[in-house]
Amino acid sequence: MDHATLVFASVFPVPSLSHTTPTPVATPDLGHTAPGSSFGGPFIGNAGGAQHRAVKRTQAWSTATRFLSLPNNPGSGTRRSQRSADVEGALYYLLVGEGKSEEGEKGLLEWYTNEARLHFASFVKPALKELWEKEVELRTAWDVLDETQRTLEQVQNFYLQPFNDHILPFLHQDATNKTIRASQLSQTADIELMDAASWKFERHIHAVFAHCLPPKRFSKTLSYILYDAGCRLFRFYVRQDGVQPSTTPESTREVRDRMTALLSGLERVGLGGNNAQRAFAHAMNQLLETFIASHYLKVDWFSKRSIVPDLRVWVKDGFCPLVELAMECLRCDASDVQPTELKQWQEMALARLGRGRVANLFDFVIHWDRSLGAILDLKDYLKLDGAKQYLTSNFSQQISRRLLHPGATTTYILNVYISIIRAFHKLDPKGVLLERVARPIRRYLKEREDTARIIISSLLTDPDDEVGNTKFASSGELSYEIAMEMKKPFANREEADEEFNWNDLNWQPLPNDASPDYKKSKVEDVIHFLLTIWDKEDFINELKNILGDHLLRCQDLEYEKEIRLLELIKVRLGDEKLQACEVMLRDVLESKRINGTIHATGDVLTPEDQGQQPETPAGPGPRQPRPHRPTSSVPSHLTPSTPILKPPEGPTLNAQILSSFFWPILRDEEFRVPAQIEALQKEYESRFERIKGMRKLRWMNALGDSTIILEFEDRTEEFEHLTPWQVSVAYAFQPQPGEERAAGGKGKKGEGITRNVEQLEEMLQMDEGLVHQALAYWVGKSVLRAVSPDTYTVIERLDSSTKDSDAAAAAQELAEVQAAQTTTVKSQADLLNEKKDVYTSFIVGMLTNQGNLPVMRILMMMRMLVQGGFPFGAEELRGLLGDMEGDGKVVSLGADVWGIRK
Amino acid sequence: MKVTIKEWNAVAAWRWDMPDDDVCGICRNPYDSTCSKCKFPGDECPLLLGECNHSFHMHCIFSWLRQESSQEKCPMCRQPFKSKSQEAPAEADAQTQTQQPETSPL
Repeated sequence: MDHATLVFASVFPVPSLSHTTPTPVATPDLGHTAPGSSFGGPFIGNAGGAQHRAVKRTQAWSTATRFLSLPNNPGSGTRRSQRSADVEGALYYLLVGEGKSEEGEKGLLEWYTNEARLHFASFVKPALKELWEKEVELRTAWDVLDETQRTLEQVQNFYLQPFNDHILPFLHQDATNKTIRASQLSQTADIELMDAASWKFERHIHAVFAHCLPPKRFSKTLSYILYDAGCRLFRFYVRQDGVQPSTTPESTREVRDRMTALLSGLERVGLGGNNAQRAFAHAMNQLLETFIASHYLKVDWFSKRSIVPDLRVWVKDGFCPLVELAMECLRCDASDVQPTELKQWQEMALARLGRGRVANLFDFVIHWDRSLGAILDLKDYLKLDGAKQYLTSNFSQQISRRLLHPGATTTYILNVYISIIRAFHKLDPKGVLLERVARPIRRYLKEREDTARIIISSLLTDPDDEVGNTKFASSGELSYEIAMEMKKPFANREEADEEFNWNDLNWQPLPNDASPDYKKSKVEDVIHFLLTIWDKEDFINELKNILGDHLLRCQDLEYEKEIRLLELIKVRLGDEKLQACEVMLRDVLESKRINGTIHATGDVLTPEDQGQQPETPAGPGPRQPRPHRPTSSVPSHLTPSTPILKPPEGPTLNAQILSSFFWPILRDEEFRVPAQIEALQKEYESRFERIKGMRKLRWMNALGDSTIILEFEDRTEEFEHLTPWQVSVAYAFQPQPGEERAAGGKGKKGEGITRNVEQLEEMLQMDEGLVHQALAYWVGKSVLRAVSPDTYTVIERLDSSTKDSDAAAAAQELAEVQAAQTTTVKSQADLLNEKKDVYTSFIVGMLTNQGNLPVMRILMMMRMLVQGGFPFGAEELRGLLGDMEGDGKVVSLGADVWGIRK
Repeated sequence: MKVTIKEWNAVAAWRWDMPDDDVCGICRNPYDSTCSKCKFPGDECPLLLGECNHSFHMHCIFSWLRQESSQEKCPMCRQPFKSKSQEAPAEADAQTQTQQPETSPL
């Protein structure tokens, strides 16, 4: 309405153009003039009574609505500063006077509400809609909300102002009037009535506001804003949203002010209700999560301490105040945080932290003990309900996924297991968790064939040894961790049965969550855990094999580590089962003395040897009756080759004398050793038999080692730690008696003696496989050259021909592979192969006589009835049956039942 | 080529000079094993051959002979048990005594 209209309106109180002129003004209902009264104009009076009320009301309505109607432009809200008398009258009439809305009539309040709604719909809503139509980008979220809040607040003021200025006073006045008249009781009622009116109006407006915003989008945006504010307040850097952390650190006060302003603004325009609270709760939930994932709560790798206290402090002094502030802004019912709530939140946060840590527990375990901080965090977490359950099940999953698969080497698994033992000892000193977690690992390790070997050989390796260190790195067959355990001081604990130790004042009941076979292990004793993976018998069998192999290879003549290891195992597994191991160890120690004695006796064949007797070692030799020692029985031709007198000329023969009954079954290939050695062996044997009456020696030529010097035409080389068959083969490439002439006659330069495999086999009576192995070794060392398949010649002159060196390299590789496969102890598989025929015929006989049988029954029968026992399990038996099926002897009938093929 | 063997570390197994697979008639352990009380075979648990050509672990036959009911007879053939070489039991006795102070290598 422009100025002119205003002026016009002040003179002619005619309805403005925008409003329909009510009929009574345009064509007033004059009614009937009463007899005697003048026929009058429009303002004659209200003699009309009831029907005149309607007219009057309509007129007042018209005036009031015209006055109260909202301008199109919400910006110019100052127009209605004062109201004219007729407006006042009309308002009074309509609100509290006679024209107060009655039944079926429209009240002014309702009208005004509607007016506001219409106004909002036509002028404000489109703008807001535009603002909220699309997804709100995170970047603009703050602005959008600010803008919305500002607009709504403005609009609200715009609507409220006329209401407050022009409607409320009348209601108020009315109420006070009534108060004068009425009792206290009705006064409050009336004031309530008045408040109710304004409250109702506000509510209507707020409903309109709320309705025009997309609710989900709004609460999401709000939630994000609050979350963002929280992040900024606490300086979390969340990058995954694409939000760039502001380069200049904002002042936290600024952020806080902005947030509180926005929140209270939203609350004022009615957007702070349940929705906002829910959004707020969401935001806080996320904030907690973010905090736990933030850099503040990263594992403390450096000072190795728990960060749980930090977490608690933050929840108390950082998180709670924020919540309180926001709740105050949103005018929640109780804006104070209760202590119980605080505790609950702290636990909630701790639970989340714990779950986060559990998810990475495997990594922490691998990096034990730098990850001590994380483990300590978890220790706190474990105090919560259900945490143990969660931890064990989750960690077991991690183990089965990441550890117990064919790709992991046994050494790796063992190392991880040790880390687990140590870490879990810290986590739960009672060991219940460890027991639960370790069970699958132990089961798995038991199934691996090389576990025992690795453990025992690691125990036998010195971690400080230079050579040892390279072994740990390269082959991966040894575990450094286990070797380190060996170095630890060795506590000898008596293993009394604690259940019945009634004098123990420190007795404590078993943990209530322990499983029935739980055993209290007070000490973090890794070796104990490792040694108890197997049943005692299985382990000792394994130990016997490995120790046997090890002792035969061992270079250290004192056997200190071996003695220590045996001692260690004895303490843990008991003495009685380890007889074989002790005998083996004693055998090798004893052998040294016997060697000394035998050399001494062989050495001095002169009569003065009686005087030497006291000096001989306290070995068993001198104790034996030696009255008839026939000095003449030592063949005189051997005397020159006796070792001690002339070491450079003849070889030294040292022997390890084994008590074969207690040793594992050793490899035992027969072949002829060099004549020189054969003679020495005979001599040794006869002396031994003289010293130890009633005993015989049997040489196991496939075992032992030797050092030789090879002299060629152009070079001399020394080789150490050769196997006997390698030496024998090399020896065979020397001219034989009678052959010498012919070889010399050929006189070809640079070529030595040529032999083929068949010749060698015959000369040495050696297995073809061994001959090939030895030949490959010598070709690898550039001593022999293959002139044609299976025929080799000595390289007497080493020219740098690449052909030779290539062949040598290839052969060396082959030799290394073969060497890796040779062990001194026969493996189970070898044993099975050896006795396969016996077993096969037994099975065939049994199945023929008894009909079809299941595997377990066959196994049982074989264990009982086969001569020498059947030391294998069901798996091996199945393999054997499979082989037999291949040969067409038996047939599988399914379900593990086998029968004879008909 | 000339091969010179400097050193030869051989391995040998000892056995009692007895028929294979035979066991001591008293403890039923193989001769190459020990009697039921001993830990180490060989010198510490030797065999004793009687004049009746029955042999036992020395400890086994001694503890048998010490019993009243044995009447110093061989448990196998009921002949009076005498060691084949007369000085052997005495020697062995002395041996067991001298062995006491000796500590085992372990």
